Amino acid sequence: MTNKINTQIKIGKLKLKNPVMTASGTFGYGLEFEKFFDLSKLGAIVTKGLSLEPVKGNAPQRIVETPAGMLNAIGLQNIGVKNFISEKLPFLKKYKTPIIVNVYGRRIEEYIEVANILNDTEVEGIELNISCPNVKKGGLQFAADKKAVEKIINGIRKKYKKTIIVKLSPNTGNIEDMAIHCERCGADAVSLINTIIGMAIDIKTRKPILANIFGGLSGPAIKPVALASVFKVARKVKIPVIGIGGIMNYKDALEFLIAGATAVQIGTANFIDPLTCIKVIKGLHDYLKENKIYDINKIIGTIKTE
Amino acid sequence: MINNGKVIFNTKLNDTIYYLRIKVPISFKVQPGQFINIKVSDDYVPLLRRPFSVFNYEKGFIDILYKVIGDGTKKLSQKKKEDILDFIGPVGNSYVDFFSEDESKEKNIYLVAGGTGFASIHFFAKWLLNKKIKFKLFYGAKNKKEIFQRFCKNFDMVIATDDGSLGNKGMITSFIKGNRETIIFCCGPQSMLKTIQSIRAYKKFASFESYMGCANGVCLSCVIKIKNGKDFDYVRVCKEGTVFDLDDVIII
Repeated sequence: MTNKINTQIKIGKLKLKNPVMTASGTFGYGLEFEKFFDLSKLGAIVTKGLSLEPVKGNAPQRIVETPAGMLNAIGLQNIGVKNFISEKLPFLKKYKTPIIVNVYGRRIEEYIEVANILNDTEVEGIELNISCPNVKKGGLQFAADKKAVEKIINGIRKKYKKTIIVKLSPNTGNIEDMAIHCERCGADAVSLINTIIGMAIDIKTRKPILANIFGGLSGPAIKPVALASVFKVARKVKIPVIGIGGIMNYKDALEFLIAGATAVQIGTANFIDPLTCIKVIKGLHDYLKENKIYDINKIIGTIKTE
Repeated sequence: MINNGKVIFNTKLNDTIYYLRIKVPISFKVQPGQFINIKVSDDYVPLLRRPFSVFNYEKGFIDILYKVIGDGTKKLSQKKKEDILDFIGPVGNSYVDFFSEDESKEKNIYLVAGGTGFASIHFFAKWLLNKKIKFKLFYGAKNKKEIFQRFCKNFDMVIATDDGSLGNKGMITSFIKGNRETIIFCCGPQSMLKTIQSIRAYKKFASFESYMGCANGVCLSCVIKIKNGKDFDYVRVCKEGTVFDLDDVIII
């Protein structure tokens, strides 16, 4: 007889069949990955950041590869929340996996408006992007502004009944303080880290390679920074922490779980191997089985520091 | 979509240009203008896949003609016979999507290739040849080393090089005389495509090159500007392209 392995975890009101989610901006609106695998196998799908109205995004060049990583400055190009609901959600909702919409606003009221629109749909949770490094308004300007974050979360909570995740950045202020603040304001979870501000220069032209000058660094290069942030934050808050940053395989994911993350998001790896999420899910399952750990929750936060 | 192919050969043609043949499953189908996204490395440097236009396809083999420019193409150039390449594809649309056989009977088909833009144009030229459709190829490059006549058997062709070492001297675009009966399909540097925008023709289509992240339509890195009334939209080269109606594109 084989013991069944439990990989189910909880994020706010959400029950995920496994702790593997997609990171916003690396999985589109989900449908581009239908041809690679059954999306129902995912713990959750987190969409590209959506705003109230469509956004054009930044001028190209928007991306450049760096050692073990990449810089992006897409500028949150998106189709807008209403188009998402009418064009993408009908196809996405047929999969048996929770949909979490990453929400972006230029103003505090925009976050609230987008959340309210999503409240009446099949979308089961929102991730507030208060930490995008690539847009002038919104995004990063809120990442260090506790009052603004409080207004956003409280404003959304008035009407929005489902799970609220706040995505945090290591780029400004103290990420632990901000996580504690989000918990106090009523967030159900925090996800971290967003990309780290970086740049690259063309030595021939002496111009920045990205039209936006700065971009967000992602990929294996940022994993140690992400892991340290998750470890620090997980010790300070009771709400679940979702670990993000350079996860390429199940071993990377395990490090985040051991450091205290309840779930993980896979980002840049989706570009290189579209099957990464599926491989991480299987890898985690096999690891638990081999080590006779029958519940994934038994490994979360089990780091030994003495 | 995710394929494994065995390297048959990976031959150096000159200082920087290589000719790669990969064995693919018989079921694999690809059209001229489409590309494949190759995983050139098993470690994290370089991290991203590299997109390459298909140069030729024949009975279970795809050919790639590529120039070594950076770390990714350097890694690819080190692949040996029998190595297994992991690639995603075919990706993107095709010249064929914009081609009408009826129109081709009344109009003159011009293909224009600049530098390594020759790769995808070559595949389309072979496709036309196969269908016995007449065309003229305008082929330009820096010098004679970068013109690959060996692949141009039975092509009606005009050549130009920057230094005049082969064919005409000057930009290939200065040797194209278009009119209302001309349909142009082209691939090459943006400066060449911009010049072609001002050549008179019935229709013009171009395959665009771009810096890509995912080549799967999700990262939105590879966008170019496409006219939308008086405004414009950023449109993905990997998904809506790589072939566009050239008159719709705003080249900066």
